Amino acid sequence: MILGLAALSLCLSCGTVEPVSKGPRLSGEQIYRRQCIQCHGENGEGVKGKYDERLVGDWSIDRLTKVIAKTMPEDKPGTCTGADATAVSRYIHGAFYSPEAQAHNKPPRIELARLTNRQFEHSLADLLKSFTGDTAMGNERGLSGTYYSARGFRADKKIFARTDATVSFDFGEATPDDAKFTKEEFSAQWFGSVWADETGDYEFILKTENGSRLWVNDTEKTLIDAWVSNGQRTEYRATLRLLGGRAYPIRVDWFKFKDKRASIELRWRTPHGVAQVIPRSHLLTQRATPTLVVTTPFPADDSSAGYARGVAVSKQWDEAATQAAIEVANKTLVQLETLLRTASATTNRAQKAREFCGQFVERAFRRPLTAEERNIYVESQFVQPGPLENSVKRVILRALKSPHFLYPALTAAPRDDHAVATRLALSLWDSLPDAPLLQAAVAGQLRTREQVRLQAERMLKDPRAHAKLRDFFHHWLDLDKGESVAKDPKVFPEFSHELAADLRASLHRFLDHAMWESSGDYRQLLLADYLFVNERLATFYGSAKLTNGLGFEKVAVDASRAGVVTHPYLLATFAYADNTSPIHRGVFLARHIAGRSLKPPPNAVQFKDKEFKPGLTMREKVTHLTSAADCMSCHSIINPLGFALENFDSLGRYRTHEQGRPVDVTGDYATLDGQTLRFASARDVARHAAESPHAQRQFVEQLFQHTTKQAARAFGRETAAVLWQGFAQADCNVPKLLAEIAVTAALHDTTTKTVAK
Amino acid sequence: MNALARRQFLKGLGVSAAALPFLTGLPSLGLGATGQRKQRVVVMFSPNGTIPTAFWPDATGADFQLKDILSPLAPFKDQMLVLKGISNKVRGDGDSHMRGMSCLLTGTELFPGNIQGGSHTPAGWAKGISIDQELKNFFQSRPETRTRFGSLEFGIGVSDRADPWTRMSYAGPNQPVAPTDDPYQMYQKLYGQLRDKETLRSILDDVREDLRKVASKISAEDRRLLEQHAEFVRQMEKELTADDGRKYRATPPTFTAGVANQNDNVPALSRMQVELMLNSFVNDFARVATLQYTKSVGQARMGWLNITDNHHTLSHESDGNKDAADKLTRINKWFCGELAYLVKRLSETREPDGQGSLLDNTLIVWANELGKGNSHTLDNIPLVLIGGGLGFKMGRALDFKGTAHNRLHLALAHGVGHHIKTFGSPHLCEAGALSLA
Repeated sequence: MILGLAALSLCLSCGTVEPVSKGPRLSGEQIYRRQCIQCHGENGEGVKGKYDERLVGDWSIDRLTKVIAKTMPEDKPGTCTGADATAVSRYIHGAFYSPEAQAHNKPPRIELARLTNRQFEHSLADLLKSFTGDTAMGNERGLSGTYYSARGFRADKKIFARTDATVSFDFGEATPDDAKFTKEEFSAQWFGSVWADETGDYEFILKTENGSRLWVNDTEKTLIDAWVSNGQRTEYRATLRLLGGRAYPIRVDWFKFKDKRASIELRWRTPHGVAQVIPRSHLLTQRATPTLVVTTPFPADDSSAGYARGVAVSKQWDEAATQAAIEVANKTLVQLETLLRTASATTNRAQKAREFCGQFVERAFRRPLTAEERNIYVESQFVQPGPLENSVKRVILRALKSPHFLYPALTAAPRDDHAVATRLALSLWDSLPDAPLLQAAVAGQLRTREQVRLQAERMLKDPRAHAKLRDFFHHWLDLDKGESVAKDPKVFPEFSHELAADLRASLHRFLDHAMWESSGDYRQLLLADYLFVNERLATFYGSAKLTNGLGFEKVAVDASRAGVVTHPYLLATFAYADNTSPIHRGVFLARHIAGRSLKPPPNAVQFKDKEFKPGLTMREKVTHLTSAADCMSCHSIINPLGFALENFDSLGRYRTHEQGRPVDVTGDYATLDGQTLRFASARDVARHAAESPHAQRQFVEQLFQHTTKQAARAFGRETAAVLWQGFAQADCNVPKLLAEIAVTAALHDTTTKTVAK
Repeated sequence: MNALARRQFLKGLGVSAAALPFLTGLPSLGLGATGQRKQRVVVMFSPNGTIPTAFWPDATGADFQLKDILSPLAPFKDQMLVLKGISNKVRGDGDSHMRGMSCLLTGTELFPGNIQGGSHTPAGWAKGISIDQELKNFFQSRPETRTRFGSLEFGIGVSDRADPWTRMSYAGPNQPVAPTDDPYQMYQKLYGQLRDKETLRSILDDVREDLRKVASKISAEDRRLLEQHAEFVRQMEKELTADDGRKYRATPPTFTAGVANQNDNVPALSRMQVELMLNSFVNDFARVATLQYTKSVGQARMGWLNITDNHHTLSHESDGNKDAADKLTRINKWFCGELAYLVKRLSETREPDGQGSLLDNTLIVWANELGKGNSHTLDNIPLVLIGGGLGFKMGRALDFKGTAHNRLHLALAHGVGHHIKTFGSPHLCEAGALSLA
């Protein structure tokens, strides 16, 4: 929804106009055709050279009327007022201006889309995993450590085994236990898994003066081989790409032999973090199986609609997808013996290779193959003479470059069950259906809403669903911006990258807790009276003392704070390097939290602090800067939201004064339905967003789009409203909403365009 | 040597010559024929010392006779230099094997460390760059001698471990360079992309057919997306077929599939690596190469010579054990035979720019970690130079009476025009480069 009429400055002269005064009352449409059409076009599409923009937006008829009466026609404002203005407003609102009118005129449809990058990489990871197998991770944190009294890790030299919370030891010139080890020589091995929250490059670091080796996500090849030491404490580094929301096997071998001192630290730097010892919270004693992670870089997906979609292809994308397919084929060939469960000499190797290829293609296409397809995609590739590996490589390449893999919606009618499974898996996991889901499809158990809901609830428990929701929050809270938060060291010397990394982790911890460990209530996201802090954050923000100092703890905050609205990470992100920014915060709250739509500003005016009289508060500066009428059409929404957060400085710390003057956070905010709310605190804003039906509906729609990669309206005009009603009745439970969205999309019958009951 | 049962290797070889940008026939002017002759250096390594009485010629000068171990090189006697009296004088941490290996090409001491040899103090990696990497850097720094890889490190039966016994090349202090002892892996490094491209090209037509079939069944608006996609596939096909401007002189060697990286296959693996090295030189992928047979303390069991004892174990037998001496002689003669094969292949292959044979423009240095296995002496390192690449005066046996091997490295550097004053430990370079021209 867009704010249309507000950009008044772009409307050029409309030419001669007939005054509307005497004579019989004209209809709204008639007035429009006489007075407005020259600039705004027949259906509000705009006229080049006069008013280029489409007449669409989310204002109420009332508001439109007021604006028309005050400012239209442009060259003679005040000549279309009263009943005339109301009539015109009603007409355009119903004919083409409102979202409903837009949807009616051109109903959105489910567009053909390719896999998004995230779906591509997770599908491939799970495709290979379906052959190599997976392990349940359990909950025990830390790594399993075994300690030996000699190098070589021989069983007869084992002294003890235990779970270590982290691998961070400095024995100095001594040993883990002087009664059991000799100073000259001892060693240890640690096994387990490391948990990656986000997708990206992870830098692993072994810091030691002794010999060590590190394996991550590979049980054969080392990531770091620093076996040969030189007696100096050294940091050995290597970078590895990992997919977020998954566990990866990790192993450390370490030994001391005649070095003077002994120490070892297992550290990492996560994609947006700072280097630190890998914390207990991200170590698991259970060893995961390796995951295939595609390392080929992809161009970013189209995000013009506010979420990543696969509605466009480009040369770069095609090249990347091809390179990735080659990468997967080569990596698969390396493990071929294991995958085929053969030694190279086995006589039925060709047979096993064909079977493997058949399964590979079926799983990639997410449905069984017809006999003809099996021939095309599998058998025909084995006809040419040459080594088996070449055939397998061709099969894999062909399958992964096929539209049946890349465009998951391309399923023919007879395979509806598999289409349901495909859509469910993409919605909840951005990946392929797993074995139980495929079995349900084959058994015809994905027909009713209840059956599909049962599967969805099972799938919600999988870490991939948590990762998908986390990905949604990444967009909903505009977290991309936070990745490059920087503050002026002269103004805020206390700011550091460590602090920013901790804040980011704190926000993620909060989201995980609120959604999966607590009530899952959307309103809690906005109104929660607690934060997660570690030692550094507790000190910085002056919250209660921590009890166990083992990472992040939940602490209560006072009523000045409210959920994500006042989370310091977001407050710091949407602020200048040396000051707050009510405009950035206001825009964020308007678009993301309050569900308003805002067009880009007609004149891009930069905020230059120097240009203001010294001693003005930020509020005063912003008010002055945005006081012009053209600005006010949007800023009357933005400013009260932004000002409400002025109690929090550029680092998100609470304050009552700014440069000695008291902070004024009050503001009047006009809702869409014409109400005016008075905000006097951040909590007021949060309460409005939490309880406003409009904001809730916007949340539902945004989650829908992110989940299905399609507009909600494409699934029926009432779909979003129905989902919202269910959401409201279920105490605004977000995971349940996610499941309902997935179920709705999965069962949607594309041929008859109705939503399954 | 480890039986590498779990080791995966790529089978499925051969890049079809028809599909690739290979030139055959007469030399073309476009192939770097600047008039300047190419210069190449190869260092070949074999372990555990030699049997001096079966190795060193009795006389020095141009009139020397080849003894048993060196007899396979008889056809190239006039292109050889046998250098006696050169010692590895590097001391410091590490036992003789470790220093024999990791100080051989670096000429500098090892870091103190945590790897314990059979004696002496434990050690870490070498403290400096090795001569092959030094030459590589020199060549890569000049456009006229720059190549795709600069240097290629070949191995045969090296083993999976990285320690001072398995590494003789160093890019710098604490920076060992690992040899690739899997010829399929080396092939992949040199030609993998080409092979991927060929496989890709063979399926693109089918992919376009898929897109066409699918597009015919969907709505008009959706069809547009698939049509765009098909257009990119078509473009990719065109680009793969088009000449990318790079021309290769020689097609890559054809390997049989399934030669496992195991002790018994060492002869086959050796020949595969030599062919790849030859091919790399013809296509000018590199001007420096190393060829490392096993490693320091290597335990090759040469069943193909009817020897069932392990090499290093044999090398510790006393001089009086005639049986052991005989076996060790045959082992070293086998290594020499592999060298002779490399030399023969270089001598019978013309330079692409027509300036002589590859051997004319290459200098091979065959070196060892020790002078003699059972004494661990680092004196009289068995050294043979062969080929015309550095313009030395060949066809002689020389005796330097116990001088530091750093001086040989200086001679190699000077031979390619890299006029460094010292290499490795400076105090071992005081007498300057060996005069070999």
